[in-house]
Amino acid sequence: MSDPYQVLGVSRNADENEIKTAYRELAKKYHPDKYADSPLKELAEEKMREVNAAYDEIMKIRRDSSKSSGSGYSSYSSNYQNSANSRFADIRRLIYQKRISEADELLDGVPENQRDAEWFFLKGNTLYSKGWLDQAADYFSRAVQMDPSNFEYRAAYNRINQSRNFGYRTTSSNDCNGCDICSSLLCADCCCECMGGDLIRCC
Amino acid sequence: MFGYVKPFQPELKVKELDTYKALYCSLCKSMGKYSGVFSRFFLNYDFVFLVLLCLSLSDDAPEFCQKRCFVHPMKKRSCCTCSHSQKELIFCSDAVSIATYYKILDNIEDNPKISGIFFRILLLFLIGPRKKAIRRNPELEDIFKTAFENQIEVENSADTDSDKAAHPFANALSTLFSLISDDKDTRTVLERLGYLLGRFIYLADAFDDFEKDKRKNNFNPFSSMSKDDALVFANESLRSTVYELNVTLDLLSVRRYGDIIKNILSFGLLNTIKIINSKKERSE
Repeated sequence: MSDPYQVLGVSRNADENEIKTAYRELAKKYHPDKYADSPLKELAEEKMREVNAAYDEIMKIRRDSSKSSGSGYSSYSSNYQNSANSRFADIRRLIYQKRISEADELLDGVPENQRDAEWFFLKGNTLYSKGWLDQAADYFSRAVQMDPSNFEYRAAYNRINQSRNFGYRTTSSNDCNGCDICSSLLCADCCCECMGGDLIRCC
Repeated sequence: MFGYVKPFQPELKVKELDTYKALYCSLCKSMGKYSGVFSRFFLNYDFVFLVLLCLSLSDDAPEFCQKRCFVHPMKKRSCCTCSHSQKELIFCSDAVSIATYYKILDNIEDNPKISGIFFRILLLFLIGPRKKAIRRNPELEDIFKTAFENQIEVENSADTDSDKAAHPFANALSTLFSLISDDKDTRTVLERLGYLLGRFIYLADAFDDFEKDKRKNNFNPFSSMSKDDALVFANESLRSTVYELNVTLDLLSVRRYGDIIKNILSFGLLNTIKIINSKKERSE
């Protein structure tokens, strides 16, 4: 196996914080969520495994040499199971094996009145793998429309939709204004009072 | 269709900018050396990215030396023509000659009248360089010829959307990029990277030319939409392509120049979108 320090890109005498930062950085980089429908999924998973193994090994070495307990990070694992009893199990398998054009052919062969939400999702998947991002977004959104409760379709839809606004300055979701602070304080005060304490004495 | 893949200079380190400039000069020099003096006028930033990518994956680090050139006669500039990066540079020069040749053929298709004559004259200067390139790298000719033919076919078919229209050129760059490396995993990443970059270049060009194409009644993948819709849609399409490019780039293990490549594919491409957008606003 290659040098675990090299895998994380840190020097041998890096301290624990540096190693953790490097690990977190790489885990973000290769995170399975980023590559969920991508043709590069396996490659990303492999890199993730390497990073995990390297991190575990460094931690093990360090724990063995000095007895200071490094709180072991629970490494990210990628458990993306395909729904087993799907109508299109064979097509899902083809997509998984990267046989995109075959999967596409089979999908096109499905008569129009039998095209349900899953069909649109899988079609979106093959289009995405080919790099046809505009049509993929369209198909994912139709899958969500037809079956709004399905988590898998929604995740794919959200991901591609977010990517379509890439580079715009996003307004931060945790806007905090005076009003929020006051109401939070009041809430905290109420909670404290419930438990018998007091946060703000005057109310 | 060229000049959309550039670094965003404010975010580059000085040494990175120097490297980028040196690679630019290297490509220019080697084009002069291997494809003839005239071919140097067809140099552009997109191909410097190709050089960057090739050299970022090559085993030996390029070596730079100071040389004079006729564009900047006063000062010597860094370039790396004399070192062992020759193979990569010749490959890229040949790609310039052949890709530009077909690009100009495409322009002639679109502009049959007076400007067509101008492009025909330009084409004459590329006949020699292209011949040399085909002799050295015949696979490049196949790639761009197929793309050119498929492009005409796609543009003439009725139900063409942005994905279909961008496919021939994207596919060409995908194959071109896959030639850079022999390693299987790297190739897989490069293929997707090339596909997405080709898609970006094609769509950015189409978005840029939207008004012109509409006026001249030329093909444009966004022409079925109103101007406002096209603006929103093209932006979304380009942005998702840039996002995917960056996700893909994270999986590419480069030996050097990683930061410059990252700069080009993130800040650089987003800046290209911004420039096109502001051009549209100004014209209103």
